[in-house]
Amino acid sequence: MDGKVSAPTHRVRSSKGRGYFRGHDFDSLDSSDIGPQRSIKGWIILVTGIHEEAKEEHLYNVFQEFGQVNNLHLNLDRFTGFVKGYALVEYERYEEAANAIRAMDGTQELFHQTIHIDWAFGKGPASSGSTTGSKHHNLRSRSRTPPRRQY
Amino acid sequence: MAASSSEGEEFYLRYYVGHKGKFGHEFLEFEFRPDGKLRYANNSNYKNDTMIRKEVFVTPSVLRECRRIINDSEIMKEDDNNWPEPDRVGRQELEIVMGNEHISFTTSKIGSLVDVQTSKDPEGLRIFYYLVQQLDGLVYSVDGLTFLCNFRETSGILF
Repeated sequence: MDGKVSAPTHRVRSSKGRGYFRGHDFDSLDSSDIGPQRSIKGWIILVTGIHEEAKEEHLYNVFQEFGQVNNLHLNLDRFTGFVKGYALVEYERYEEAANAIRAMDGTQELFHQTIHIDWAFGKGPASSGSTTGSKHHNLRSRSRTPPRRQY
Repeated sequence: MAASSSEGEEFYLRYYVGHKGKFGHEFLEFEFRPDGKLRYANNSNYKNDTMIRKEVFVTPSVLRECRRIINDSEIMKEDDNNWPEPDRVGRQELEIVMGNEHISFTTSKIGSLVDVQTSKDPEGLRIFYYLVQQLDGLVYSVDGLTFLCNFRETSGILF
């Protein structure tokens, strides 16, 4: 598939694969809400940079210090069998999660390698700081996709 | 590695697996959009199940981790030229945009590693196979926790 786009851009994107690109409608949300999103039962944070041999129980004990941990997902890398490197931790209360973030983000106490912690869910679109949320998104100007193949 | 994931880069991911059969169009699809919206849909007409559609906004940290998983897999170096074509049993689609690179792969369903090893491109297909599992694991955890979260049913056609 030709990677050329019609919109003015200084970048040409390489494109591979038999699949087709479907034009996507990016809805814009008029949300003035910023900040983390609460789940019905609690507040969820994402921990990254976790050592591959980390044990779930150890993680649980550490994070339990900041409050009641309702849920902890420490996902495995299905290929290596080791820990993939991230975990999702759910706290009962906002302050508990916020404290965990404040205390542990950027530290090396746990595994002698730096971990990062942030909220997992937000209330609205990501600000254009770290991800591209800009209106002139290249994907929008790609040519129309061919009809879906029947199989 | 060519396209390392820098913060200002565009990122988009979509994975689909499904087939059309006795119980209608059964599929699973999830999509990470550049603005952080994670959309998830699961449809089966088995025993008159209805479509499940969820969406939630994830933070840039989640997108970052998703990009890391993709970079680790090195899927962006692969190509689906020699992968089995989608067939009546089903199809998988994986579409990723990372900065200047865009891949849009299609292949048939993969039952197990045996299908991978007996294919014409076992190396590439294995990378695809495991990456799908990693992503599925991430979305499953996020989604599982999301289920307890506010999700909005979108009206109309999601995808």
